[in-house]
Amino acid sequence: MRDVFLSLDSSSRSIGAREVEAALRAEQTRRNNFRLVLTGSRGAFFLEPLVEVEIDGARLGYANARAEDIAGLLDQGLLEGKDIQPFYIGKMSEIPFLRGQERITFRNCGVIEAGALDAYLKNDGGIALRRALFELDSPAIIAEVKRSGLRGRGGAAFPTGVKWQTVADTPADEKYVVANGDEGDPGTYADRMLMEGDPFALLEGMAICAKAVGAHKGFIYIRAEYPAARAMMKHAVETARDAGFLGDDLLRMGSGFAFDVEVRSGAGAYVCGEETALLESLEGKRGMVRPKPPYPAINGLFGRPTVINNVTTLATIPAILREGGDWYAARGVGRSKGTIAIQLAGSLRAPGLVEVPFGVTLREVINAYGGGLPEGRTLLAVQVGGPLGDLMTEDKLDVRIDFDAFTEIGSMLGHGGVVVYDDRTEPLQLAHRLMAYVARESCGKCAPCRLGSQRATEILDSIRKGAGKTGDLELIDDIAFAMRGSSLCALGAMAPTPVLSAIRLFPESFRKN
Amino acid sequence: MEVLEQNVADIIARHKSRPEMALVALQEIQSTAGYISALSRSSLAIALGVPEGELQGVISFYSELRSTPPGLHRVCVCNGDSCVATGSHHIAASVETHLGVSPSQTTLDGQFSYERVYCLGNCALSPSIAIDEEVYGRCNPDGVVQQLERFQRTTDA
Ligand SMILES: Cc1cc2nc3c(=O)[nH]c(=O)nc-3n(C[C@H](O)[C@H](O)[C@H](O)COP(=O)(O)O)c2cc1C
Ligand code: SF4
Ligand code: FES
Repeated sequence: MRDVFLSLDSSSRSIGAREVEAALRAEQTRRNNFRLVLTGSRGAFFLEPLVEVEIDGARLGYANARAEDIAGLLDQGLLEGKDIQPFYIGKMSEIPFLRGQERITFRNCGVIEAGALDAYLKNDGGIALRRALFELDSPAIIAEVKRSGLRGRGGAAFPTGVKWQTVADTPADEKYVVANGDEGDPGTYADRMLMEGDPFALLEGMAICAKAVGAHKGFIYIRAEYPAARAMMKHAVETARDAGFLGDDLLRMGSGFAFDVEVRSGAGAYVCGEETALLESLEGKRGMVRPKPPYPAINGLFGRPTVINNVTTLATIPAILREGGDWYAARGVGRSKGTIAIQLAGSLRAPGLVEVPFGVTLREVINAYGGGLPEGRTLLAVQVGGPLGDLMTEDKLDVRIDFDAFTEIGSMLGHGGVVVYDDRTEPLQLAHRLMAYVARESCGKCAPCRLGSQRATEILDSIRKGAGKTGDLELIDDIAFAMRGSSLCALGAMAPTPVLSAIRLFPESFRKN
Repeated sequence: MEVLEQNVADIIARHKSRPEMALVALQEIQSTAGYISALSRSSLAIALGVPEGELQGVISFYSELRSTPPGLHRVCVCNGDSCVATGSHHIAASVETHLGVSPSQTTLDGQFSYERVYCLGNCALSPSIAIDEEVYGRCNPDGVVQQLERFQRTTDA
């Protein structure tokens, strides 16, 4: 009996995968000659709803299938891998979008049944945890992570091994591992895809981390806007607990190591992605940013040493422990080792998730993978690294995807989100919206961020309405200076970045009054 | 006089004397009752042992938490960067005209609460909206109206 695969990722569902599933189920009952396997997404969203069939170990794809196409596809030989147009796209491993990618963190996404522990184990899941529990001691695990060169994917690109070391070295009666699944940057969806498509990789990464630092309790904090990710992670936690992958004696083979995980939901606050605000939120309070130091690694959740890592960072750990830190570090450039998941968004022909080794250029990712801009559109600017990233025009696109190369040109790679704006976007509107977003999301602790963002929004709004005054832009400069100089966190400190870059790059847009 | 629903009372009892569970308790109350009433707020404050003002501070901080009853369905139009780059303001305008509401309002017939949100994680298929817990991608102004009408019909029936 053949296996037929379908992504039920929430993005796939947003363009009809649920209806395709119903059609496939109806046909399955009628024909009884295939097994339906529901997966997460491969990130090639422009091909979805995407139905795949596995023949002799190769996955063949049928793209953009709608519910009403399913019976016909089966009649015409989908199960035999027939070339049925316009759906058939051949071997998935050879389609241009996936061929050049190197899937390490996202190897299972869209490939194996989502939330099925047996499928995860069959695809090398659990090997890394076994190694961490039975072969390596804490220093050896941390050494392996350090060797990999892995840097946090949540924004700050801090070396993961160094963070773990600090927590391991800080004595305490209790320690915590927190997975940051707040994924607040508009234009990003890597964490969501992982949680929906490969939840056990995150749990395995957390368990390895727990062993390395001596923590016995973990939390996964997932933003409110991700109900499907939350449901999948809850399901995965229960499944893992039943199978002994979480609990009092991990793997039930006498490891004697206890670790359990709780899934928590955010409540619609961007700032709660900031690590200390997230910890406040986990403690049941308003998500107000804490001054640093003390760092969470020393004084974190409930005052205990806490590892807080991004979901994608933690989900990369199993591959590193399985294949070795050197293996991972063999990819990438400079101090950016391994692969990064670039999430393409905005005005592109084929936006999706692209996992590539560091070192390719931004232009390559946008054009070769994202398919360039839609017909008839011209590029205004690209914003990388979320709503606080600067605007990059055409001339900056040859920058290499590398944390440090981005920093050198005053940009930020951050969580890897790339939003492309075309000629439909008005720079002034964009600047106003980004500043209004900060004013709305500021936690309010620092006056320059709270009041400055408000004031800057008002000024931009008045220019927008044709009521700008001389000196407005100078005032924005002054506000920016204050925000940059005396904000506790990057939300206030970096909020002026895109606005100032918009004014610098498109001055004419700010002059109509 | 307002009385607490039994399941809300159960939630409150379960978190008794655990102030660190304030947010979780509020989320549970909201998912059971649709919103956090003044009575459930004061009862929870007593049970957790925190000042009611502090609890109110938590409620007002988080945009997802609400103190008034929501509509039967919740419509969220994404106002995140990717959706704005692909024309979400046309989507928002279409929804607002069709429902006759502004952001954070509920229609007079109580059918729909309408909100703007900042990214649904569906950026590769922008512009996006969500109705209740389901996301809809690659939206266009007419399509979202049809989608809303489908919900209205199911509710009428
Ligand atoms: C305003 C603000 C929002 C943030 N949002 C997120 C987020 O949504 N997800 C995330 O992983 N990190 C976010 N961060 C970064 C975290 O503070 C922290 O650096 C990260 O979770 C650490 O994990 P990593 O080392 O694995 O990257 C944010 C930071 C700031 C200042
Ligand atoms: S910079 Fe803004 S968001 Fe960050 S701590 Fe200060 S007030 Fe809060
Ligand atoms: S920006 Fe709208 S779904 Fe991400």
